[in-house]
Amino acid sequence: MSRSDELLHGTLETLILKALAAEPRHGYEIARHIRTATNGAIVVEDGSLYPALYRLEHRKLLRGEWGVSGGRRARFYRLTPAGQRTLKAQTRRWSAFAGGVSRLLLGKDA
Amino acid sequence: MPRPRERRSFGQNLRSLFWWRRAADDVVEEMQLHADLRARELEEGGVPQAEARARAEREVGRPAEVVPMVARLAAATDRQSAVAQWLDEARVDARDAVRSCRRTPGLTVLTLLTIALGLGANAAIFGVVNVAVFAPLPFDRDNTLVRVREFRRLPDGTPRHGDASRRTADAIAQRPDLFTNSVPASGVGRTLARDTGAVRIDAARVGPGFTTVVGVTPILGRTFTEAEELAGDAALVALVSHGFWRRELGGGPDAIGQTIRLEGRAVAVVGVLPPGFHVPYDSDIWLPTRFGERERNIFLLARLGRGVSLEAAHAALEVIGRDLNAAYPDELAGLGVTAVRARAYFVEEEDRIAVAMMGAVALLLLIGGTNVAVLLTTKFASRSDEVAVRAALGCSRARQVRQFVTEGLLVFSAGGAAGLLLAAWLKDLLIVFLPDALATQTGLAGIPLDFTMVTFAAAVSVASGLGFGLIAARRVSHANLRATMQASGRAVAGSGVRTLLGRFVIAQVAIAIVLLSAAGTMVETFRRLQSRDLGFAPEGLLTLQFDFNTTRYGSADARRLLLDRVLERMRVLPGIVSASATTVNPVCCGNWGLRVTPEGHPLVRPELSPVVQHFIVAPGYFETMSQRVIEGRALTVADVAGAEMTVVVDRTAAARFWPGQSALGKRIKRGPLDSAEPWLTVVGIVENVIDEGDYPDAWYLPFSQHATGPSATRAHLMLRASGDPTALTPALRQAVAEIDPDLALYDIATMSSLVSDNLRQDRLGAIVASLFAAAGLLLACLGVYGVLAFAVNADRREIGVRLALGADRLDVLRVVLSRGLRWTAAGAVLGSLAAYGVCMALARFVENARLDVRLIVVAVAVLLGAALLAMLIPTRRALRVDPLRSLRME
Repeated sequence: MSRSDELLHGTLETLILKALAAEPRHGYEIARHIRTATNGAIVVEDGSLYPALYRLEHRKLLRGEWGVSGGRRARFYRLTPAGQRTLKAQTRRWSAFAGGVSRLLLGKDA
Repeated sequence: MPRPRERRSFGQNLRSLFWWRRAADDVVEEMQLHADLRARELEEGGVPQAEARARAEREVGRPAEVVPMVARLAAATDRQSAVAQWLDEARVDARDAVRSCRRTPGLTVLTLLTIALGLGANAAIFGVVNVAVFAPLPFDRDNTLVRVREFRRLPDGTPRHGDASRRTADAIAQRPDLFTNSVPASGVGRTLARDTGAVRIDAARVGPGFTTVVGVTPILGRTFTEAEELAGDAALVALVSHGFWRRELGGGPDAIGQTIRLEGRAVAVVGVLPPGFHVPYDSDIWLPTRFGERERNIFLLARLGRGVSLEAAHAALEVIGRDLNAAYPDELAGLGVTAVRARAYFVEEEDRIAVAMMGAVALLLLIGGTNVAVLLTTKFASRSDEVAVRAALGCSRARQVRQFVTEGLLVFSAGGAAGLLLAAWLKDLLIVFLPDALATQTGLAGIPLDFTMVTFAAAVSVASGLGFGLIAARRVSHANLRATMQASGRAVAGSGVRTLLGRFVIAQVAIAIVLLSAAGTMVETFRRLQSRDLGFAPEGLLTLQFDFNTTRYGSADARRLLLDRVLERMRVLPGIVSASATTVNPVCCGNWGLRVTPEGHPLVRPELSPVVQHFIVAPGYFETMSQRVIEGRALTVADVAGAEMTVVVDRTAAARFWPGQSALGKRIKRGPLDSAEPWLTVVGIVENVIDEGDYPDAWYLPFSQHATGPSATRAHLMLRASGDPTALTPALRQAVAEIDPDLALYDIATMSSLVSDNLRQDRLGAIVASLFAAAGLLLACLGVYGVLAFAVNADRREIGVRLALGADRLDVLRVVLSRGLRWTAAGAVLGSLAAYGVCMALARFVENARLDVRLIVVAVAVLLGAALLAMLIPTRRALRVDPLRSLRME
């Protein structure tokens, strides 16, 4: 996904949840994880990361806690159980959706 | 026990106060870190420093744009968690309150019972009084309907109210400035012919515009047309009551247009009036009527004009009365006109009873309230050390207060709920106190357990819970914490609290005695009423009525003949000892006052001539009634038309009219001295009958000589039976049907039941007063027991000290007991004095009200017993315990 593309609505939140599935991360680490894990296909920018993080925290899917990273105070986010459930559900929906689109556009399974 | 806020750390709490600062700082710091790290990453990837910085900042975004949104979210989160925490704390408080209640089960049950009893009784009474005093008549929502009445003054000056005359009705109709409209009506009996035999029904003759004036609309069909109202009786149409429609006409829409046979004439039903409507009296049928020029006995209803007060109407009616006096000096001399609100007229009886009941309930509530107050205070006071510990551990005062309030609310909600159940049950018992008229006029089947009543109970519960919780919390949290902790349990029974406890005991004993003695007065009054000599023997007497149909039995001869035949048949029926008849039943169904002139009696003013209760009786009446003939003779078959006109008077009449001489042979006549009525010779004097009539004196005329006129249109048969009088009913009906199948017998009852019906309110008053008194005494005993047991318990340590110092056990016991007994005795003295005062006040309503000393003695004995028991049990325990142990116990 290039810079001018809109991130599919709701996708960013799922990607953030996925980025936190393995371990707690702070904001920079989340952005970097998404970028590297998608080989740079998806870059979170235009200041959309933090509103998304706080929205997720408000919905109790994440919890933010202050910790230390590289000698500086950093706010680490971890998935709550609710967040884990949401991630699973979103992943299932995405794979069903992506599979359908792939079959339609490319004539094969994604 | 409430804990300090536990869900969040101290720091979180502090920061949550500045949520907006915190959220802004957080997000700015985070974004700063992010941008720094990203810029460094880019630089390491070979991007020039300035460009790397700009790109990083663009990616991360501008904090100024993010902060407001984050702050908004943070605020919402904070609110949510505040509510969650509040609920959480409430749950903890409630759990602690339940625990605290379970630690002292006896006290809790006592408190709950007290609240339930006090609140239940009060809510039930409230419901009844609410209906009795405040419920509007359904057809008179704006309370402007009045009944216009005439009155004449009795010799002693008191006004005697009665129906209105046509003259007054006309005068009212001329005053649209006072009354928007008005309508005459009157109640009559009508015989309805049915396939199964004739029945008598209460009918109303009503003038034009009756439904409009009264404000009632038919629920089916229509009201009378103008043509029908103008035609009057000749229109042969009727409106019927809801009950009549259901009972006699099948309750279907096809009832409209059906004809019923009234007095031998076919009358068409044109409409059905709403359920519960029976104005005037107990009418079931309304007939359009043109009232005659000289008609009296008019039930005159009028609507007050807009903005016209009852007082203004009274003043204007006084003038109207004077004008009428002047215009018709022969006919209306001495007459006055007044008006009473329809609502007040229909429910005029209940005021006194409602007030008395409210008084009793107030006393009961006072006892209950003191009880709860003392129970909760001692309970909370005994926890002052716990409070002190908690305060020392950093539990905020607000939090402590909340704990007490929660407990108060819990106790009162539970008690209130129980009380409401009690009220739901009580209210149906109390409905008997409502005047019958109110019940029938408003179609009231029962006191509804309505929103008002529930709200009332809930409001009292919550207010009391809050109040007592706050008072207790205030007392406790104001206490000097260090002193409390040092003194420990001793502070509880400190002199301040002790004075308070003493006052509680005194108040409760006093109030219970007042309640008991007032109830005793009511019971005594009822007993006297029940056992008084009525002047006749109601036992074994059966009574029933029939009316002389005006077409068939219009003449005196026809009436006399019918009554003779009926009585002859009755006398030979097996089981009947004697039979007679009267036009007025002394204990029921209305009375008939008549102005008379005794010969030789000095008359001050013609309009002040005496009024007597007017009986026209068949031969053998006094014998059948067992009414004693004091002097002379009874009326017999010899007193026939054409013979000397005779009369029998009762003892008070004889003494009043001819004081100091024998009434025998004296003469008396109906109406004023110059009236055309014949003189009647007194041939006998009979014992007074205690009747429901309004007049103290009575005369008895022989039916044979007075069988005409409006006062002789109805006969009450009096039958003395040898066995169960009610078993005779079928035989009586058959016997009468053989003489005249169209003769409707009604209101068959035993005289005993009628007498006891008259005492119904007194009896119920006595029962309820006794219940109140019993409940009050019970509550007072519980309260006294609770207080004294608590006081003694609190003194255990002192008892231990005294014993340890070598005091004699008996001495200690004496000291402990004397204090409680002093309180109880003080209460007894105060209560007796107050009871005397209440008795004096009651004497204004109740004849011969006097203080029943025996009752007071019993009450004091019971309360003393409770007090002794309350003190002996814990004292015994304290005395038995090793003094040293009891010292250590605290």
